[in-house]
Amino acid sequence: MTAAGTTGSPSGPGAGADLETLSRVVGQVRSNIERVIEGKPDVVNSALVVLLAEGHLLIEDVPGVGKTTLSKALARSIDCTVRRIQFTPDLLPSDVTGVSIFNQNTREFEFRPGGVFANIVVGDEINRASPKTQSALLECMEERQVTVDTGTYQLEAPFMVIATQNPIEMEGTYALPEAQRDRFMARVSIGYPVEAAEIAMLDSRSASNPIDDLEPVTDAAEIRKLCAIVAQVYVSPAVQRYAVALTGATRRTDQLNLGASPRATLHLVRAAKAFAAIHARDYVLPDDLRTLARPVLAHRLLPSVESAMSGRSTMAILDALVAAVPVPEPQHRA
Amino acid sequence: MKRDRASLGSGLRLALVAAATTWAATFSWRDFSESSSPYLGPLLVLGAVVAGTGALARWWRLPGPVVFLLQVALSGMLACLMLTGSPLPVGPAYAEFVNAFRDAVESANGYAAPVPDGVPGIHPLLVAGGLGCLLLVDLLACTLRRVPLAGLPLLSVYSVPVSLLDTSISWWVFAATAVGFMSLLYLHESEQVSRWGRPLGQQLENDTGLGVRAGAVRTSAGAIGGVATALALVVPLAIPTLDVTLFDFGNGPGGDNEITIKNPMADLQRDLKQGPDVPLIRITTDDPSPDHLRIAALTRFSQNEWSSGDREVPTDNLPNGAMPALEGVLPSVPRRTYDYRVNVTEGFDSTWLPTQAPISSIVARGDWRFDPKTMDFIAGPDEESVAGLDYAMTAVELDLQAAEMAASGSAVNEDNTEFLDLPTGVPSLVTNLALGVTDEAETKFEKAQALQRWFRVDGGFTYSIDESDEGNGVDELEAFLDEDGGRVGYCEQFAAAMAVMARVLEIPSRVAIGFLEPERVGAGVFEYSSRDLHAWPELYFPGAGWVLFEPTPSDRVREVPGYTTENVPAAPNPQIPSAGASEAVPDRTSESPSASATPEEDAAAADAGDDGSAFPWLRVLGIFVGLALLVAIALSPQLLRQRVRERRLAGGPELAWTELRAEARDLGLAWPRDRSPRETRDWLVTQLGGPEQDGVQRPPRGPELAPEAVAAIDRIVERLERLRYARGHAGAGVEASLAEDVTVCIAALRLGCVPRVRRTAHWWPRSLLRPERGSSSVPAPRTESLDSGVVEHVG
Repeated sequence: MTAAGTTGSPSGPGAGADLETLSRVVGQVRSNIERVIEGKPDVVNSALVVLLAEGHLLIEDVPGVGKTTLSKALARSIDCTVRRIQFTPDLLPSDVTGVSIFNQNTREFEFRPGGVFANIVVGDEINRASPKTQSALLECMEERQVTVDTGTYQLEAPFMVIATQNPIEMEGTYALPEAQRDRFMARVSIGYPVEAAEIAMLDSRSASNPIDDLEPVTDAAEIRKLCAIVAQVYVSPAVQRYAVALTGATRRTDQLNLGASPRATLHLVRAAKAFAAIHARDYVLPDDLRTLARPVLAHRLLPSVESAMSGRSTMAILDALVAAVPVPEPQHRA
Repeated sequence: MKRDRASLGSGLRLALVAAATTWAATFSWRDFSESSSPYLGPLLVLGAVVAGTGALARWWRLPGPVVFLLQVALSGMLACLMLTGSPLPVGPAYAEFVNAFRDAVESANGYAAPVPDGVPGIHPLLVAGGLGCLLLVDLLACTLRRVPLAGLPLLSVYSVPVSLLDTSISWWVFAATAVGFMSLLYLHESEQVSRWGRPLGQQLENDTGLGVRAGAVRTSAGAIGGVATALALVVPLAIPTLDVTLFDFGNGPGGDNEITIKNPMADLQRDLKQGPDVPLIRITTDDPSPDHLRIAALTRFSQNEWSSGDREVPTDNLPNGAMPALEGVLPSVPRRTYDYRVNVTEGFDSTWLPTQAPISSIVARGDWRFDPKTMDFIAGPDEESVAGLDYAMTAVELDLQAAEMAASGSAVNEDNTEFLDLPTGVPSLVTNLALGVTDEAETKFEKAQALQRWFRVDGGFTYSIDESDEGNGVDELEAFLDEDGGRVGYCEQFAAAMAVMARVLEIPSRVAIGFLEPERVGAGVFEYSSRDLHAWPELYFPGAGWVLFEPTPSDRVREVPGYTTENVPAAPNPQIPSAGASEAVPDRTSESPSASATPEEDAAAADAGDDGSAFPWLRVLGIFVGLALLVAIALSPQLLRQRVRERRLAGGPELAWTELRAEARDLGLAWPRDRSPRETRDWLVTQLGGPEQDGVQRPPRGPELAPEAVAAIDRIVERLERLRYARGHAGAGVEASLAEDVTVCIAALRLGCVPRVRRTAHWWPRSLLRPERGSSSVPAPRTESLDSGVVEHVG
């Protein structure tokens, strides 16, 4: 976050105050989360970017590195409704979306909201649920509404799904197909903590779990305002062209069987807007797109057989593509 | 930026120092003319006008060309006013203007330096030249702000007299010019530094950044000044000696009058006095400046006249090829040969064959025989004439040195005693004069030099063909040499008298009759006419052979051979025991010319070491034009670059960024293409250098060395990003400091490079001279990972 992280002063008259508020709130949430997730500022930042960009986050990592803790810490930092769904093979779609049941007293069907009816939904081990259940959740994520029987129920904003996935234990799981992963704005992995952070964790968790002591520092209404501010961040035509060029490059290369979708372009730009706003800028830089290319694009790409056989990772292919796409420059007059 | 008094003051100061320095340099021209005030005074006023006009016009922010034109117009009008009394050369003033310059050119052409006071002065030329230098120095130093290059015109001002007059320039002129130039450099550089943001000399807390640049200023000023000073000493030595004759005056009209030479001396005056000028001999030669063409040598002096004497000419001494080795000339004497093709007109009737002396070969038709003692050619018994004859010869030009001839010892040997014969009854006047005139001279050769000087300069002789008496016998000579007789004569008497006096001094001598100097009629083609007939003495010195002297005053003979006026080093000579003679030979050529009485004498007295030639003004012009061209060629890339830079710095963030890229390119740094400003910034900061350190071959680079520049780059990048990517552009108020930021970055970039690269960037900016290539290597990408260590999900 070094180069892209330097602050710039906003240009609009009212934008300055808004961005200051945004920075302050984001700072509070970040420090709150970092009380339980130590030494992972980038991951925390990505989570906040996705939150403000109104996207959904996929956390993919080995067990025990803090995927659920991160989700819970984020959820607890915001004074809003939080639901956690533990995905298991026997979880039914109705457990996620809700179910209409017949009320004997009123003699009417009554909708009982499922786990998805919350501002922040933590979907733990999403790949353990059956595809049918996964699909139910993913449809909710995309449409931000639930249709059960004849009724359609809006999900309250902010609505963010934080799904975790364990890539190691594959047996008896239903891995998210690439098309489904496209619904997630970003995928991050937490990684093992550094030694010092791990020792600090031993100290802080010896008596109690610090996550229990987390107090909300903001609420749903404020997050909605912040999302509105992010939506106002300006994306210049040059940056839009660059975003399209970046995703376009993933589609044209022989090294990938599946490139980034137009939705990926949209997600990339939206995430970049949030990223810029977090850094107190009301305009997006090409560098923001480059910084976010890995978390936003990598999980949507499918390497070709040749690339897979040659052992080239999707990340490496993506990095090479990003490096090769020229940043649009204006015509020089001198 | 507003116009304030301070900027006017500093501009005026720089301009005045520039003008004063140029003016001081023109002091080196004093030796061109006997009095220097006619050009120094006007140049002082003109300098003030040029400086004042320039400073005001620049303060008023007029464009550079307009400033220069204004200066040219104002100072030109003032100069015209000084020369003609009218500010514009129109009407009568024009004629006066043209006349002033024509007279000046004629004076310059006619008189050797210093041009005497009595003739029309050469000051119009000096004023014009000085004004040109004033304007050029002001243009370079003040208008174009290229102070180091102003040293070149200053250098040329100084080198002109050094290369033309072969005299040394007073040390204080050089010192004054050098000090002025250094002051210019210092003023300019300190102003440059203050433009970067802080005044020179301001104490900084740590010894980095601008504080060090003050040291760099001194270093660079010292370096440039040192180089300029060294150049000033070396360049005059390296300037090739162009031998250009600028003013070739027209050829005289031809005619059919016949000139007859049978008895050379008797015919000489008659032919000289004969009415119109008749072309007699046409030569085609590779000799750039042919002169004395000898017809005959007169060896015998009798009571009544000089004559060719009795000749014993062997019948096989024919002009059919190589000649015998040069008599009395050491093989070690450097020499040069020139081919001559001689074409004698029908109007020239002579029984003597005109040749150069000496010659190494000759081929001529007819019965011509040469006398081995004199090497002149006489017609055989048939009394053949040269009229209409064509023949070829190879002349030898000896590079004689006065010092060697002075050291050659006794000239008398048994072969040449006949050249010492004098009739009885040579008047004591002649003997006394010969001894008196030469009593300060140590050696035979110096005595001969003293004789020539006496005839030409000190003796008060006047050349006149009309008023002189005919004849060259003892009585005529006595009358000629007698002060009461007015000492009027023509070449015959000068030559005869000097030859006689040389014999009195026991120097073998003879009188040569021939032609003095031809007129140039085409490339390599010259024409001797009847008016060129002449007589001169030839004196014998061992090792050098028969040596030509020229006692005829400068009215008739402008140029004399260099060795006849060359100083002989005053080496102690044990062979001459006389107390008076052992004194050092007085350095007459360095004597003040003001001691002389007449202009002619002054001109002749100043003929020091330069063959007595007139000013080769074409050479001056050539040097100026050459230097100006060099200056222009050397200056143009950086001037152009400077202009481009100024335009970019005034043009906003995008152009400022382009300027940074151009500077990086100038310095040979591979500016990454197709990268965002921030990525480029990350690369750029690694190229910055810190304060200069002594003894470091390759300056260290890194962002930590130049925090100021890093901050400046960040500000530039932010403005650029805002311009390129933000909604609208709220750039008001930030542009003023943008140029300053770019300047700081450029300075730090330069500090990160070795001096050689910096110099290349300065003098040969690549960004200007070679277009950018279409593609360049893309640096390794620097994307920041938010999810490093992700495990590839391949399900």
